Amino acid sequence: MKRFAIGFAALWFALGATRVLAVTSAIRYATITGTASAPSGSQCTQGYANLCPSGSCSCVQVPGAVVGRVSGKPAIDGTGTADLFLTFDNGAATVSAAGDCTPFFGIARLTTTRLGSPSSETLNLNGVHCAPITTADSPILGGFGIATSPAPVNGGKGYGKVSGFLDPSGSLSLTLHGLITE
Amino acid sequence: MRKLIVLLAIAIVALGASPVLAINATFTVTGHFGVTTTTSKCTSLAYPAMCPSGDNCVCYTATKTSLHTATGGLLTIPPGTTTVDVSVDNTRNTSHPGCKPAWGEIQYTETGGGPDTATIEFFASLCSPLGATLPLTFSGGGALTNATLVVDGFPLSGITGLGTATGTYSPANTGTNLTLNLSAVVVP
Repeated sequence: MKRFAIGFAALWFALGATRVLAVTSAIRYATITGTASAPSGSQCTQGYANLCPSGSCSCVQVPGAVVGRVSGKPAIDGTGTADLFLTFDNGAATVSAAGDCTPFFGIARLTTTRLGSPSSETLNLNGVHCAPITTADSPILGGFGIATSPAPVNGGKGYGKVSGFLDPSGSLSLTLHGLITE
Repeated sequence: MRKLIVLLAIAIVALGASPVLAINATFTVTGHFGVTTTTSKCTSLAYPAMCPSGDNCVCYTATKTSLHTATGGLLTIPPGTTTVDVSVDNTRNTSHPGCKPAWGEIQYTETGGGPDTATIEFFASLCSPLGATLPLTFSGGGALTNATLVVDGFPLSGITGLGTATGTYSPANTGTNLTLNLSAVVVP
């Protein structure tokens, strides 16, 4: 019995240690592609997207976007789908004859499969969306963080940068990379 | 009189062709970036004052700055005084640590009585370092909202531009710890 208890304790300790060792921080990547709705007349009301500092905002939704991996890079949250809600603060746009850059606040609700198990995470996003600058695409630049509420399920925590484009046609393509602890 | 006509004709051609004469330029600001002791947003410049009043915003002001253009060679920016204010919203951090919204403005005025001026407004996400030895980063965009600059030898007013705003910031008590770039398409 004593041997069994010692063996069990050793096994328990080993398993615990394994879990601790399994938590790693690394630069991880993800892509999000989809088709955006036409802007509505007011801000989005979902979580971090529910922010309109200037009081003049519109909401763009991207339902059922595809969450993918960047080839050869560790993934932020596996693969699956995402629903995006983006509030564009039109009243805070920086204006020029060449076009505008408009701040946005948004969320991306990810429903994915990570390491063979279901996962869900919500990303908080902020940044700008600009008129085309050097190419035909309308660039997006900003940052993101994994929200603590709702709590991620089989996910991680962390933050990083987001870049890509959202064109007038509604075509959205984002690449995220950040320091993620899983 | 003939000279005046020639100069006028050049100016008309330059202005008339302005949408075609878009110039790719990078405006770079470097300096020391220090946070003010007051726990409130910047209020002396209009764009940074857009940080929401109900949020915990702080004001960063850069000193010992310089503004210069790096590309194209068509734009000339003489020595001047540059002011940089950035309001950072601690309340709207995407996560802890994470990326905070930042409203920034750069104002430049030529010294020595020259006519050159420039105003740049930008919005960016100020993200915590992605590594132990790395700086914080700005990722965003903005506009040259109004400028009077020398373009290809001719002083032109009403110049505007649009571009991406990126940069780095390393907390430090002294020295150059801020770099901001606006890589823009400028329309004379």
